[in-house]
Amino acid sequence: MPDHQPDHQPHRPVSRRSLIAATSGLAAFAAAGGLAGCSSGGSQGSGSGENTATLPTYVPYTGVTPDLPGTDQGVDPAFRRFPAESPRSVEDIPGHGEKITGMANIYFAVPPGPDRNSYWAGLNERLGVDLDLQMVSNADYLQKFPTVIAGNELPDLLQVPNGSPPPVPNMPQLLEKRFADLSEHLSGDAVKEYPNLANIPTRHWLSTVYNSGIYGIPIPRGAIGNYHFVRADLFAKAGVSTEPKSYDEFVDASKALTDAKQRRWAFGLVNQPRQLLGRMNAEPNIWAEEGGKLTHVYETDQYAQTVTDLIAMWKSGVMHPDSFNPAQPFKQLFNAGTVAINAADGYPGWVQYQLDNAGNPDFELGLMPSYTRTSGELAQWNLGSGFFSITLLKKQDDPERIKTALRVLNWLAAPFGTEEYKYRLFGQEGVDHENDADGNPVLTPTGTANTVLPIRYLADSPYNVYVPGRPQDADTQHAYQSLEVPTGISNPTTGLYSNTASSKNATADKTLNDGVNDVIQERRPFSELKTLVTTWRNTVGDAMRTEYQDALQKAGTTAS
Amino acid sequence: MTTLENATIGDDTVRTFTKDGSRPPWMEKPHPVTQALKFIVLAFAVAVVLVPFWSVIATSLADQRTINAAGGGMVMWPGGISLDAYQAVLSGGVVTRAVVISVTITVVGTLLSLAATAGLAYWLSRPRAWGSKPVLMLVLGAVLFSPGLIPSYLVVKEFHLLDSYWSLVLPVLVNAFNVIVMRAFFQELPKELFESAAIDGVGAGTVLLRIVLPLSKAVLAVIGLFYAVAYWNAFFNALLYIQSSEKWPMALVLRTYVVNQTTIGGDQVSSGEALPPQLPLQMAILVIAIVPILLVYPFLQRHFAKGVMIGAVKG
Amino acid sequence: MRTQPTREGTRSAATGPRGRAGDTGLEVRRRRPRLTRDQALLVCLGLPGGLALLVFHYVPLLGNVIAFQDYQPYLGLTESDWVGVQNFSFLWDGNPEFRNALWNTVVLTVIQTVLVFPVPLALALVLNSLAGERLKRTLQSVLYLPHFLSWVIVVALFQQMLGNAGMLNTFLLQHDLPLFQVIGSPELFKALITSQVIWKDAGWGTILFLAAISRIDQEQYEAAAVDGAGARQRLWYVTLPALKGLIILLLILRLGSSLSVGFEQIILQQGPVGLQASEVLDTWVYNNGILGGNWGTSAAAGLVKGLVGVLLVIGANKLAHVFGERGVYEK
Repeated sequence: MPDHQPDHQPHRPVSRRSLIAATSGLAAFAAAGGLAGCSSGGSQGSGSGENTATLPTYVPYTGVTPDLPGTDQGVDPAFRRFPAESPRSVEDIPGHGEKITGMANIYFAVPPGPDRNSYWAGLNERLGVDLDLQMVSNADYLQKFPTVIAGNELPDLLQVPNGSPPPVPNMPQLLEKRFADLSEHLSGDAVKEYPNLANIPTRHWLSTVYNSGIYGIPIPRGAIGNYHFVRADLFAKAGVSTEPKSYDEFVDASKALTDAKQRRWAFGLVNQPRQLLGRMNAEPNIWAEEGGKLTHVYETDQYAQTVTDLIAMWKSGVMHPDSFNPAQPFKQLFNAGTVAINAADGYPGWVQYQLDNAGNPDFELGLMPSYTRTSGELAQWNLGSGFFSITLLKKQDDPERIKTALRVLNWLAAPFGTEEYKYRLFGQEGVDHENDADGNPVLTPTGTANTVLPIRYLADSPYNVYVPGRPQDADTQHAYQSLEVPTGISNPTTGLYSNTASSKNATADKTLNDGVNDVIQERRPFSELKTLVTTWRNTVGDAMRTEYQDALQKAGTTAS
Repeated sequence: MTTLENATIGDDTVRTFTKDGSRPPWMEKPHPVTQALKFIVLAFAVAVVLVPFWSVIATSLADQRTINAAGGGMVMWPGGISLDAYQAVLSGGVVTRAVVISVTITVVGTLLSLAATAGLAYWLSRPRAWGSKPVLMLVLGAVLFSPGLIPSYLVVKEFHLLDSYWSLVLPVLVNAFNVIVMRAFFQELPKELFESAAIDGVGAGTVLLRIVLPLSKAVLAVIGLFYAVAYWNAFFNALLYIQSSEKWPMALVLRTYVVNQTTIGGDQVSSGEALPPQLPLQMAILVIAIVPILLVYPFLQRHFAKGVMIGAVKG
Repeated sequence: MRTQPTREGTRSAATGPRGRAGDTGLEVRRRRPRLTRDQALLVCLGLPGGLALLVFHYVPLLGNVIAFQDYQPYLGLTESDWVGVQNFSFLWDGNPEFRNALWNTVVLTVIQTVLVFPVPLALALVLNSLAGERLKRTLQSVLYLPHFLSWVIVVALFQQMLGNAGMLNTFLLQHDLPLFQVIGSPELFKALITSQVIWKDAGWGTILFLAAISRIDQEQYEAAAVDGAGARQRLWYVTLPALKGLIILLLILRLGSSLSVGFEQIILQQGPVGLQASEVLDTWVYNNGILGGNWGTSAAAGLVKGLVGVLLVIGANKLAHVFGERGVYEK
């Protein structure tokens, strides 16, 4: 399991330079045109160069123009409506009737098989392959993955369990032994053979580099990572602003939103105020890097301040009484208005909240910017890892099979608005979806059941903001991203692999957070926070630091 | 031979005795205090079970607005009744197909399991049967030690059972606990029956068919129920061994609704896609998963009637 | 049958087969061919079940050798490094988390054996004493229901009903009554776990007892009644003695698995109360073995648990023999 997502980095001026430096190996990977203007050309980077690869050249797709453009920093392009014209992005059918097997996790009820699923059959036809998918529910994926590895009957395409870094011990060795190094197909300009994969910006590819090779296709996710969702209607009713500009205003707002007798609280899970306060207190984005030395957020004074604030917050009763239960159905509580702030949820959740509440005229979704404690200025934003998971390709005797697989993935990664994208998400018009008056595709019940194949976890296009039937939402979200992303800092270890982080950290982190929860509820004295952190450091923290620092050096980065 | 004849009709003899529960003549009228106490205990137990269940059913029928009004939790009254959740689950035909698969696996599996378990238990229950001692230890060891995930997977793979329905039956064909329980029941059968059978020169096979099994209807029904419920609810082996989702049994299909939806996070969704409201869906799944068992149960229950043994050792 | 993956890795069989000749007794010894044929038939009847156990239980058990390996799925048994008894180090390195988990496990096992085990028996006796057959069956069916819910749902139901913002506490809060905080309180965690187990499985647990009761010869009751035995005495002198063997058998088997307590149930509820109060052996193994892909440790823990189970079963069985009971296996 990934690190908890804490928040901000010490007071450092956020310039583009420091952003790059913080974006781990980026400078060293010397991505060709990755963040336009920052690096020039596909050199091998500096330093020892032990684990560097030339990342795929970024060639943005230009066939569809967004209503609101994205930025190099990672603000997503936004569309108010679905583009009227859906151009084709792939000329030739990728396969010649081969069978391609794949395994990925699924978050939905399983769709019918290809013989009873016109969408799947149509997909096979368009891909020119017989796509045979093993779907494993996400809750069980972490168990299934090692058995498949142990059984050594690998599918052609295999999704790695999600997480940054992936929760897979000894990943480099595993990759070397069983999976194909894709560098010759994807490095530098070679990726142009697969234009839709070339449309994935360079920063997303960082996480696919192991053993100085490119070992997978990233499932890209936006830089913003999370949104601080709020119920703007409940804020209005309580007479408080959705933009508290200081700690005091923030605390006042939480109190105004709370009325336990009416079952109303500001927060539903402890992680939510924790994120907001972390930002306010300028915590680093999990790790802070200074001259090649790493400091973890747990070791900072800012974190201790956050815990202090949380003690006060828990005492004041603005958190749902079951906030320490990780199984808390926080989405339902948010939809029901039981909690007014949902501060730590993935940003694509916006669409789901709007759809869930289509029948509730009172519901008004808002986004809360985060400010520093007292200065009245925007706080730093913790950028996401930029990927959901990566897709591995099995070693093949016949290099043609790798190429076919890559062509299939290229088709699946077709950009927003293209014909392939429209089919991938919405299926056949008249069967799987209907177009509304504004030309937005709306899934039919058949489409809802049929289109949830987990192919989106084998390859995906970069994210675009688009909410069917709600053009104004594109503007709201784009404005929020444009406000927050420029203040963003990256986790300097993004894209680096630490075996301790992938194997032991989940447990140690759980133990630590468990103790911290006790401290917040005052079941243990505040002084024990130090002990907890020391224990964590001894079990995993120092080992992770060493491994990451080593990896940073091998990637040849260290912002000098 | 009177013994054997009486034994086979044991079940029907009972009915004359406890016909629809009327008190046998020798039983005294229960004391009113005892009666009241029993009533309170049972009423409490039933209420504690039924209230949450009522809530499950009500929530499965509720619409989003009712659930919101209840603060996002379960409801005691569905408000506007909506069958959306059931429709969502049953659309696409995936569940229907999985039900057929599950019923088949449950029926075939339960029969095979019962046969194998009864055979094994019979062998182990007879005194001085060849090899029964070490095999009994083997069975007991299987209760105490369970194999790991990966080795089990490798064995199933070596037998080329991956993606075959047999992978859902053979690895769980015999449950060691059930063998031991059934053996204990077999051992409690009156010795006199076996003795007279031996004197009459009846072979072990006939004894099994004509004495042991007819007199063990209750335990066969119980163990059969244990197996059936296990087959019906099993998802984990299917998760490991079944590759194509077309062959998923019901429990695994349902799991994708119940477990996944509770953990889904925003970053797993692509733009423009949506899930139906979660809570009613999960509760509808529960109802759907339980109903078949409730339908079958009464047929097994008649074997639990008291006094099956009546008359067995007469004569 | 697993409902949830047995998260402890492989374990090995320690009980070697112990063959000793059974007592030569009641059975008639004439006609050897007949007997031989019977013996062969018995073996044939038992063989399919025995083979299934051997192939699908014992062969994978051999995989427990990974307890002595730094096992990596991509390397397999043959290529993984041998590390001796390093995976067992939790036994002697004074690991406080392991000790805490062991303590919680033992406490829970004792509580559950004392409090949970008798409930189905008592319930079965009450059910059995009811007069109306139809009423009895209906009640049984109702009481079985909770067994069919998975732990995820049971935990959610308890949360909805008894949680700090659940139905009960909302009611109390709105009427200015003191709250009843059972969920999220470390002190009450074991009580919560125990009551959930009772809620879920007490009704289901009556099945075996009811089946055993159904075998009691009605004439025994009649004879006792004729001799002037009241209801209580019939319970004490007829019903309970008839159930004694089964009760002892189930107790011994329960002892054998005393180091396993409700993995799924507990791991779902650790968050609010913390590991100090809630960590048990199985969750410890999950957190320290499976989560980090440390298969060796989980296999080692499984072995230890199995061995402890063997010792407990042997001991308990001996004890049963001392009291003249049959136990799980005979002398």
